[in-house]
Amino acid sequence: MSDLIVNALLDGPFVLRPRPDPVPGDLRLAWGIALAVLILGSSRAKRASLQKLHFLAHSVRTPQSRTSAARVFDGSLRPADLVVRVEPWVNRALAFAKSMGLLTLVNGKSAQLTPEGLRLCDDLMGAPVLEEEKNFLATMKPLATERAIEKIMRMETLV
Amino acid sequence: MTFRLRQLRLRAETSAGTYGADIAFDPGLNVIWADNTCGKSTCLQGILYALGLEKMLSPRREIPLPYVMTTYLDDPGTRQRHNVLQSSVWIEIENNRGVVITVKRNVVSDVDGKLISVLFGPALSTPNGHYTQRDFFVLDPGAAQREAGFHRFLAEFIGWQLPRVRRYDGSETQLYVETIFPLLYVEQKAGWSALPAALPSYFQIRDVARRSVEFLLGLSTHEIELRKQQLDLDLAANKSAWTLKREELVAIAGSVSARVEGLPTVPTISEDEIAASFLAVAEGDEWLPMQAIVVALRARVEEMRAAQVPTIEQVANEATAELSKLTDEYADRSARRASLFRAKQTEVSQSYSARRRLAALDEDLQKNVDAQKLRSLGSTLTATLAADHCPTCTQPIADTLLAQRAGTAVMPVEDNIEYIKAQRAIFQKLQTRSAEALETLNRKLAIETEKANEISARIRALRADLVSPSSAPSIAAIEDRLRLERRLQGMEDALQRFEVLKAALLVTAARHAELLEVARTLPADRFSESDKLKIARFTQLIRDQVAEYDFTTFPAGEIDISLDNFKPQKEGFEIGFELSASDAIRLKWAYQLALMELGRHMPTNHPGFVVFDEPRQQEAAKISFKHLLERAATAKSANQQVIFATSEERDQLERMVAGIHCRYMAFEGFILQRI
Repeated sequence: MSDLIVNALLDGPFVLRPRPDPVPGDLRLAWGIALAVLILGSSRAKRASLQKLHFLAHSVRTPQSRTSAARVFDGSLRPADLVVRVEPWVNRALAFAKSMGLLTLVNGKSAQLTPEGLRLCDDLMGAPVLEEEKNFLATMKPLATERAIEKIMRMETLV
Repeated sequence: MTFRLRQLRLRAETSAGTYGADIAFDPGLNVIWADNTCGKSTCLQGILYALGLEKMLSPRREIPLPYVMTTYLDDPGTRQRHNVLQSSVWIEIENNRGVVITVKRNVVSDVDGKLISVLFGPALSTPNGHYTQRDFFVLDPGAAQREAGFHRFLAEFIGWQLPRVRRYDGSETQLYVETIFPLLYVEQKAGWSALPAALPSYFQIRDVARRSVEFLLGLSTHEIELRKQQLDLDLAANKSAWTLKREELVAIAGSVSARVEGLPTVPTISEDEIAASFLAVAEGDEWLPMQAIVVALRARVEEMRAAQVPTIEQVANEATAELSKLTDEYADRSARRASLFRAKQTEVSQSYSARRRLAALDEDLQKNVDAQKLRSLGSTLTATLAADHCPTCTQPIADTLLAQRAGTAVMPVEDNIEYIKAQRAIFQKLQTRSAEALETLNRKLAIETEKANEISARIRALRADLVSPSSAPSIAAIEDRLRLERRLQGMEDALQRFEVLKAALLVTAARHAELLEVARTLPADRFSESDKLKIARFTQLIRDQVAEYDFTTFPAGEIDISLDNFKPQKEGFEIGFELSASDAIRLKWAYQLALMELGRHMPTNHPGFVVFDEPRQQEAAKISFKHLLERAATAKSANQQVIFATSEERDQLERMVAGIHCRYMAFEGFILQRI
């Protein structure tokens, strides 16, 4: 660039602003809270242990994790080969959902949907969002029982 | 297209005798007056029942008639109650060809209620004639389409050719008569609350209101849409035929290490462009037309055939020199191949990572889109999921599930979506470039391999020569000739097949030109010029009428018709709550009559028949109702028919109709009387 252009460009006030940080979609408040509500909605008595919430929240996130979880349940992958990460965002989503009155924490061990949470869950089921996640949760519903997840976390075989 | 009601007959047989009513109707305006609950709606719904249209009112198949026709009636004179033993509804109708038929349907009877009998003649007004009778069925599957189905018969009688429409599940069906009649018959209860009409949705027809109005107005939009869809299919089929032939060409070229030049990947309409395309062969670093190579090769082969095969002694010195040169060249070529192979490996791994990155971006995009949707979905969801403040301490929070740190700015979800899309675009370009680069590398590699193989064969032949007796013929020379002959043969074959396929491509190009010409003649939007004229006229008819009926909410000239759903709109917004109740009724009157009146000026599918059951005159001013009656009375001159049933104050009504050309029928007490 010639000096002339550089000088012309610099000859005036200019501002540098930091770009806001992009955030992955699954770390958005709405996404995480909606997922927590959907997981509880697909659980027995609309209640699930924190362990199950973490297991399903981790499993549902990517196509690979969904396939791995499904393979553990059909026996083609050993529980020991499945990496389940306990992620802080799940806890934060639960905390927000709790303070919004969508769920209650029972004995600090499990979470249960409130009537308001249940209404939100119904609305979410009817809305065209989180389709992959809803599908996955529906297939997991009969398989991912508390007992089964306890076994997986202890790396015991399911059958 | 005409449907005109000439006469209605209701009959109820009881243990005490026969009760019933006979009402004749004229072309033009017909006004029926009777007190409330005296049987007006019984008469009008009787028309619907006789036509087997009860499913237009509700998906339940109940008889849409009051108990006087189904269970018991009270004698108007003696006040005694009698059970109904048998009852039936008859109507005499006429079409524009002057054909008169009488339709009879039993209400209470031993005969199946799904059966409708048609007498081919005016059996009510001229009862003594001999008329042939034929039975049809309604309600069962096929009533709209099978030959014995009454609605198929009715559509033919009116002169309707019902269009094929799409269902929600993607299948096709015929537009049902039940979805058209609500535009002609405004039913007392639900009919007045909806514009264009209270249309049944359980037939699962997509955009049912739009389809029905389009049909009634006789618009060609549906046909244009179908033609556009077909055109898209034809264009796609032609394109894939082109691609297939082109791929075949590329394969032929590949078999002789050549490439196709000047042939576009998508169909072209230029014959010259196709004719100018050619096969190119690599000679050193240049790509030359195969035709020229073939000419040179042919000359060379001819020359070799003419000459005698030399003995080894004659070529020994040259062979030694050539062997040494070729050995060097072979090493050179091998090095080039190895380097090409490494480049290919790099490209493959780059393409793979671009693909993985793209998949991850797609996944993240979907999640961000979901997060955005969750924030903008319905009010309850939005209230809950779009919190910008901590629900506990009410401090502002960033829209993230990462640790909330002061001073970090989180990109808003809309920007984030754009950001991901921008990244995706870059990676998509990268992947396309990678694919192109791989193709070039593969081709180069194939050429290098072929050359290397040629050289190694030649080296083998030369070595064999050098260890053979000196008087023997040179194997290298023989092999050289054979190789050239084989190459020539392959190229000649390829050229021949190339020409054949080029001829086939010309046919595809001609078809493509034809389809593009069709596309040019289709309008850019859904509406043809005549459709636009029709809608403009329709709008004008509505505006004229609402002005006549003293519409006051806003100037009548501001009313438009939405081209999407044919609902009235103002400045692009659907007219809803801002209308006063009386103006809503005025607009409804105007809309329904305008549908009919348009048929006086332009060809439409409206049968020129409109029924208003209790036109809600109480909600509009008297003066407006008088104007409505006057406007409806103009139907006579156009051979159309309007039927009003009302329980408006009798004196006032009679003053209103006094100066109007109409058939006025007032019933004291119950319409159903002892016969």
